[in-house]
Amino acid sequence: MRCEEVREILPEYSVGALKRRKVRDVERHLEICPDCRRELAALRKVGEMVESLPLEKPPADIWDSIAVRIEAESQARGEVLWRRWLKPKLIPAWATLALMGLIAWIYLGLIRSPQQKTQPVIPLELKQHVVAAWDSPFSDTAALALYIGEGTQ
Amino acid sequence: MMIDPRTVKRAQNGDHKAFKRLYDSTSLGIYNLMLRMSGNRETAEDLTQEVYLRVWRSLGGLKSPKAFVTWLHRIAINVYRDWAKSASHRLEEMRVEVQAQNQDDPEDEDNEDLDLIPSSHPLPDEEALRGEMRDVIERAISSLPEKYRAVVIMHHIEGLGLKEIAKSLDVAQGTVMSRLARARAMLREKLSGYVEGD
Amino acid sequence: MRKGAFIWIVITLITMLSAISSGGGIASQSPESILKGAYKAEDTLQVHGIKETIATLPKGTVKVRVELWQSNGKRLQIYLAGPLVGDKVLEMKGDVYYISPKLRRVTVTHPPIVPNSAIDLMLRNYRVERAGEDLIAERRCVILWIKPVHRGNPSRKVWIDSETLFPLRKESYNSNGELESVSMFTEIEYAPDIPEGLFKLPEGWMTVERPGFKPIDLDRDLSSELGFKPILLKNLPEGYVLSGAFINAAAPGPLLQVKYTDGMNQISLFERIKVRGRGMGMGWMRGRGRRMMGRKMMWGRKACMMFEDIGVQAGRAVMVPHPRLLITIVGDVSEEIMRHIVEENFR
Repeated sequence: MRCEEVREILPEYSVGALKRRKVRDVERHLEICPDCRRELAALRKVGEMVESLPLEKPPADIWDSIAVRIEAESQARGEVLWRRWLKPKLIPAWATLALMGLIAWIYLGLIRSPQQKTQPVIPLELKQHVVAAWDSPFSDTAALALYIGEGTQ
Repeated sequence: MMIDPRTVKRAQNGDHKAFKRLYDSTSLGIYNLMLRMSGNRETAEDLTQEVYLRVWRSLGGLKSPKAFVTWLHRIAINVYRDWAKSASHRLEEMRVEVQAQNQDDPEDEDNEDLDLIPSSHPLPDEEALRGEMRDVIERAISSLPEKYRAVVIMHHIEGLGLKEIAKSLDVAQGTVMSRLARARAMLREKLSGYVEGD
Repeated sequence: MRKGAFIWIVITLITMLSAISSGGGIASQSPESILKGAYKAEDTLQVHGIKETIATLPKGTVKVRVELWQSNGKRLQIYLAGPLVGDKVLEMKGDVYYISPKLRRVTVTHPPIVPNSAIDLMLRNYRVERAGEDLIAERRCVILWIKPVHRGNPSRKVWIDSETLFPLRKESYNSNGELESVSMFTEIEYAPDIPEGLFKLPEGWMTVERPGFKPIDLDRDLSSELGFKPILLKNLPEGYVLSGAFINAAAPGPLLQVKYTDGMNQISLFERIKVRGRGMGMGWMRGRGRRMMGRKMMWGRKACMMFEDIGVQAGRAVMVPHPRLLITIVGDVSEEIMRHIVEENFR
């Protein structure tokens, strides 16, 4: 094999993607070609360099945010659903709890495939509607300001 | 990432503590995957959060607890792609669309139409000694097309095996290998000043 | 009687009287009166605190941390972390000033002011229930659930400081029952010393007015101003009343917004003239192929487009087909309520 041919498939060789026959051809060439050997070393070094990047620790508050949401969602789902479907007076407390848990588990188990939230430039009507809710009781203006903030023009 | 299928089962039943254990065992990998894919720490935090929320919501649909890690990675890649495609990301960051230049890319027929988005800014370096080197490597990785970047990160940084990567991305193992190969070739070009032994 | 004893008796009497007048504490107050107190306290108390908010916007989860100062009807929020970091929002006399030090620019918005009677309307349409107690920012709080009387509306859960009635944590659930945002004070100080000049606007910066809420009287003929005769909702969902109408003159073609409220939640009806030559005029999907995912709904023999999960406190948007007008209904109400609005009002 000539150098150009080998160079083309050297990356595949370096990751072990070549078939046995090609491997033999490449290795035969490498025995006699120091340039290609250097190239192979360079390719392997690339792998090492990437592997040398340290792993960063995720900040602790990522979990906090997750925990808050899953707790609240579990509670909300459990509560909202059982209130609609059960008549508490007819069922003893332990059964109610069990049923609540079961319903919550079933609800969570139903896969709702995450909808792709593709939103282009925020339409004027949406911004208008949200900002108009500025003064509504117990709204959170820190979040609403995201609709009037500079980054969302 | 070694995951006990019993922990997965418990989490599937709504056990928050078990879910936390799953998070603890896997978040380092997922966070770094999101970090290296997006090139931005804040984004990585948000994406990581989104990954685990989606995991929690759809955990019940995982039929085989043993496949948790690959399933988790599939969700992670989807979360990343959703974010990459969203226009708000386009509004926030300067985007340069780069066409893949490989003529012998065996996946030309794929037409996945994934946006090839290089990261907007490399991470600030903290270790003064190896700072510049890290910078260079990080920039090289973030300039890779998304398909290649994903396999490089999963294999070389997260340490996932080829089979796991293939299952996560829903492609053949051979595809993973050829993507790794092409990625190496590209990185070798970008890092040429640093890899040569002469 | 000796002067000393007299003074002690007076002090004791005053202390006893104030204990009685404070209503015997929050334990005996009805949830509704606690909520009313909280509604007032939220806007009037002098506080300084750090508040964190996690909200689901269409682009994903957003986390924001602000430092909040409030005194004498003025409120300042300084963004410490999150997408708006470095910016400030100052609210004074119903005006909202968005201050961007990066751009040295102040953007002024005048959102419509909600009258105080909203809370009474809200209590007719939402029931308030106690849901226990908790500690937030090291303050004992009573937890209240605010749940809709009429199905298909959003809910809130608020943690209210037992002593001051200031809401320290709020959770917003949309009409699907999904948690949309959580905001919580991690630190709070009551009656703090207010630093000098805290609520002052920066001088000499570019000021941009955001027009959008010019109130108009629906009883008069608006066709000359709008270019069309508005179609109003005659059949409203249960609990909702008309709360105001505004013109945004800066929109491409004047945009009419008619607001309906049930005391806590809002539904907006938007109307404007369709710009010619843009096909069906389903306006939100234009612009370099960026698409918002919508669903076609056949309601009342009309093909409407519904967009869901459009943002925090925004809910759904439905575009109702009309030959000349672009009609959009926006609000966090269930699909069922939306369908009802369309079928009862746009035959």
